[in-house]
Amino acid sequence: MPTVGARKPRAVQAEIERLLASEPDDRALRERMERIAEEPGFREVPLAVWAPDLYRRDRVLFRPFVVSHFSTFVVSGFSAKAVPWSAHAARLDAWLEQVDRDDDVQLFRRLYQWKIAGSWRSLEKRWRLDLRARMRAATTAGERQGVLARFDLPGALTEELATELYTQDAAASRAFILAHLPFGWVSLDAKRVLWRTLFELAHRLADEDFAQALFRRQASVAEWRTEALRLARAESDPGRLDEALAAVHPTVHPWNPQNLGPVFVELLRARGRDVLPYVARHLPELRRLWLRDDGHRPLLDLARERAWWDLWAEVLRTGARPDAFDRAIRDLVDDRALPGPDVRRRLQLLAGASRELHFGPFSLAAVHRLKDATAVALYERFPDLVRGAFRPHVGAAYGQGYPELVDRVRMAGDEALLDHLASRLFVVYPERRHLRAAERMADDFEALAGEPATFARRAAAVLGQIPAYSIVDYRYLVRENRLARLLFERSPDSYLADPAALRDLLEAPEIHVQALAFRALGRDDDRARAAAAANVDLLQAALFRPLHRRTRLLAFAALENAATRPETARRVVTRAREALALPDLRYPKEALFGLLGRLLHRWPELRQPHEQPVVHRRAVSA
Amino acid sequence: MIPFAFDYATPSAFESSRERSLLGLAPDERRPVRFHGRVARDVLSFRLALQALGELIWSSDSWVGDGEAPWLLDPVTTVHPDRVFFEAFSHDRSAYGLVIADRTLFETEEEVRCGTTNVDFTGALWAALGEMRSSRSTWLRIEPAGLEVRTEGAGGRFERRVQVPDDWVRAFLQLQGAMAMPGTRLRVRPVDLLAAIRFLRYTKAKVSPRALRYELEPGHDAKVVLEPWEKAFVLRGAAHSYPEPRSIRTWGRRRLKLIEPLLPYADAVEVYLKGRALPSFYAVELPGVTFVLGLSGWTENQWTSSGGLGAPAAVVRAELLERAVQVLRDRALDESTLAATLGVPRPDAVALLVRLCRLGRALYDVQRREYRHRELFAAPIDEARLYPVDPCEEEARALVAADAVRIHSAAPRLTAKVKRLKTPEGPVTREVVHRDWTVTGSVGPERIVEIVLDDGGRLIFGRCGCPFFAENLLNRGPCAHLLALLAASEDLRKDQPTSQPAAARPQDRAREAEEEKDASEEDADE
Repeated sequence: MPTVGARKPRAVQAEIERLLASEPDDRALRERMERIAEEPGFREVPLAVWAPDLYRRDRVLFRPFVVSHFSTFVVSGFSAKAVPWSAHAARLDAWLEQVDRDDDVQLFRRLYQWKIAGSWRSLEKRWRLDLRARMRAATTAGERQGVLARFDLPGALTEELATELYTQDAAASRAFILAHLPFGWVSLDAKRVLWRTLFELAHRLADEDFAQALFRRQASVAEWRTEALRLARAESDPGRLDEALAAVHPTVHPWNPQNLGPVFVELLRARGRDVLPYVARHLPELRRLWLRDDGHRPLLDLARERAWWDLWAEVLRTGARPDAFDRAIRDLVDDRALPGPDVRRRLQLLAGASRELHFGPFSLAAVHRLKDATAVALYERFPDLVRGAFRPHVGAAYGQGYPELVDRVRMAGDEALLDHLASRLFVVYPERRHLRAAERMADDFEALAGEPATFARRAAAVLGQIPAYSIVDYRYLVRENRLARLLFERSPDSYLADPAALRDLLEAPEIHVQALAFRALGRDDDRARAAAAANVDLLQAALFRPLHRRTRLLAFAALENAATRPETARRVVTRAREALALPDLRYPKEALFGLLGRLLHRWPELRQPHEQPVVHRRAVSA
Repeated sequence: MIPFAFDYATPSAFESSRERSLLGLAPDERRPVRFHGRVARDVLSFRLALQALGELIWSSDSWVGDGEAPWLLDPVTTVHPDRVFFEAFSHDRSAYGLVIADRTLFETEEEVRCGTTNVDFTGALWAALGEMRSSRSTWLRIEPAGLEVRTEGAGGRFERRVQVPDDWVRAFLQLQGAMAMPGTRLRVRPVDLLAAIRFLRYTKAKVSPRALRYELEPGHDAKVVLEPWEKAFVLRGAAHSYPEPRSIRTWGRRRLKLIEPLLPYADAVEVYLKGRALPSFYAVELPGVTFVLGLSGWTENQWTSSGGLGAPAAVVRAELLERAVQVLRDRALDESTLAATLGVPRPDAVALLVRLCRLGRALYDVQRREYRHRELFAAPIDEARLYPVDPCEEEARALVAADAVRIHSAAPRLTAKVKRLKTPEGPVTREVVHRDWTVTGSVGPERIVEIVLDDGGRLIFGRCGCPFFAENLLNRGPCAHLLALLAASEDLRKDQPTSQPAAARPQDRAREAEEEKDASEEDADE
């Protein structure tokens, strides 16, 4: 929306032209331009009107202004219109020449892209022609590097041009060529064609790093296979072979994977366990073939044939589909011919996360879930494995419940596993199958109503296993899930029966579980006060941690209960005073003042001089 | 790339029952270390420190990925007679973490075999650490164990090989040198540092400069200033002994969030500042455990982008080097004690220790200010490959040492802009000042040499008449003359406040009026 009273673009342009013609002081001009740039009308004035002149006057002073307002569009309200280079060709060509002379690479790229804008094909063609011409004209290494820096724009080279660049200046052009390979090289295998001429030239010049980089990016699976097998025959040292194979391993785009499995099999047949670390590193690449082919199958067959159970397990865990993984577990559990210890050993090899993904501060671990029937079979034969190594494989998940397993575990009275299964019901979207399991477990917990200490211990064991940040919608959870309602909302007093359980809740990673502990410790109950004082080391941290307002108020109540002894009161008051310095948004400082006031009222000896109450009395007349 | 091979008998695992927890860290079988002990106290501190270390391994403060397949190097664990160390270096080479636990924290069982090894550390293990509780008897076991003796573990024996980039390894090693560099030490309250971190959490700086500046004024406690708001947080009780005002700017302050979860539980924090745009270290003292966070000067600096830190490694006799290692094997010591023990002058002892750090054979304990033996690699590194001699740097050092640098002028070029900045207390209008430093001078035979440095001290423009510059411009790094001028002008470039209050611009006033109107309408609705 245009601002009321804003000047028209034509008026803004007229003032700019007047200033450029009449303002002799560059600094004053810059200040005026900065102010004009804040007006909406400025965005409708083409760049060519003011930028070339400013740059010509003092490129050091005006360059930051030009760069920050560089636009090849004029913008009016919500619509933008491209300004063709041809509309101001004379001014812009002269400016581009000056920018080129001044070695201003960043501005050159932006202007040059603007100048050659058009269809993608014509743009790329023109870019190649100009690049070739400029490189041929460059006489020194510095000039050649300057040309490559200027033309480092989106675009793909041809083999002929890449070879010419490399011949002219190998050192300068290596990185440039690798950055401008045709996009097809990461796409379909049929389009992956190695630039043989360039590749062999690099070999002849003993530029192995560049040749290998080119090979990794361009070689087809067939070419890679030939090279990998040649290396496997030629290199006898396993360590050096591993390095050599890594150097030629194809860079495959994750969206369009290649089936590398058969070549891995050939390598393993040729060199045995020498190439196992190399193959193991690249097993996750087989996973990408899930929807097309069972890339892992030939590897599995070979592993079984050679009794390489570590490879067999690694392929199943990291490269196979979940149903293949589940089938392997079931086959093992049902295999009565194989001695029990061997079955156990192979099962142990299979357990664990199939992959981990790290995105800066966030991490994800993917685990194959077992089917309910498989989990039951495994539990009946190796219950300790389900409680231990396979525990992550039997948590409730979207579309996957464990009603049979829950029944079996309840019948066995296996509290440790039951607690784990119960904790998973809090972190998954509550489907009907999960809610049914929660109902049954809630019945079990309600039966413990007469034994509050046992209830607290069991409930803390369940809640303490909920991972951090896994309860997304607490209100929905307690509304839908009866077990959650029972443990979170209906039993805070019960936790006071077991001080150890309360500390476990305070140390739990999930914030809603900690909030439950704050709620229990803040109750008007002597047991709560004793437990709060015993846990003051954890409670005082709540003053500094980032908490929601409601959670922090619960923590304040617990802290007030903790300050029932002089030493704990001193700790709480000291920390509370320090917390006043925190700039947290929505920190309930008024409640913090209230807490401090109440504690200082209760413990006058903790008051500082300026915190002593001042009592005003009528002056006594002499 | 440097190949590393790890041979773990089993994956590391955390097993927990109602009464007992066991953190079993699987060491590299090629470098067996044995440590089995009960965590006698401060279990929560131990857990928080290890979790912070795990977060550091995967943290990345850069916006651009590697492109190539990702790799990670597992943490390094060192067991000493008096302390246990866990070290890790972030994937983006910008942050270093060190967990220090006194041996008194553990009640050990059976024989302890001291030494250094890598330990398997996965995301799943990190998550499992959340189940560590102080109410349970908690055990730490670092011990190689074959499948035949395992009953609870998962996964299988598999030799793992990773190709680690040279610059990552170099950065890790140079860090030791940076830790040992002289600098400023401040002891601060956790809440003061936390206040600065929280301010940044709630207030994103959308304009530069974005440095964290420590202001040290004689007779006053140190304070930390956040740019561009110039928001100052006094570090109460952080005494220093500088006779004249001094300011130290550091960059990459976002990485301080790595210690944010530890600060509410900490007793104190010791901050070690090594100088402008140089690494800084934060030792967070938790009950029983210390977590040291090392940050490079700025995120992209990564310790290795331009030259090494500190003095170049002196040439020392191999025989003397081995004797120093033998002495360090027996006990931790400082430079003077090593000099006295070996009967060599103190400068020689310093050179020996710097060299050992560069080779990954010694660790600097920044808290106790002493060196310890720590063999980072199973096999010796190729020093010539890892530290290639840079002729430009060598020549620049020689030029500075020969007093061949004359500075004609060193002046900041100011660019001021009025900006509306958000703060937790509401938006403020400030004039943000960017200072690019232009330094001109003559260096050796070159009569006119010019450098322009940006606000963060990075070289953005240079000019020299030498053939190296004419041939390469800045594409292969600055020439010796530019480097010499850069080094010689270091003291002339002073840091100053980066913004000051300013009158609101017309559009800001209009926006404020609109916001006030909206707020009053909302109040009326309520």
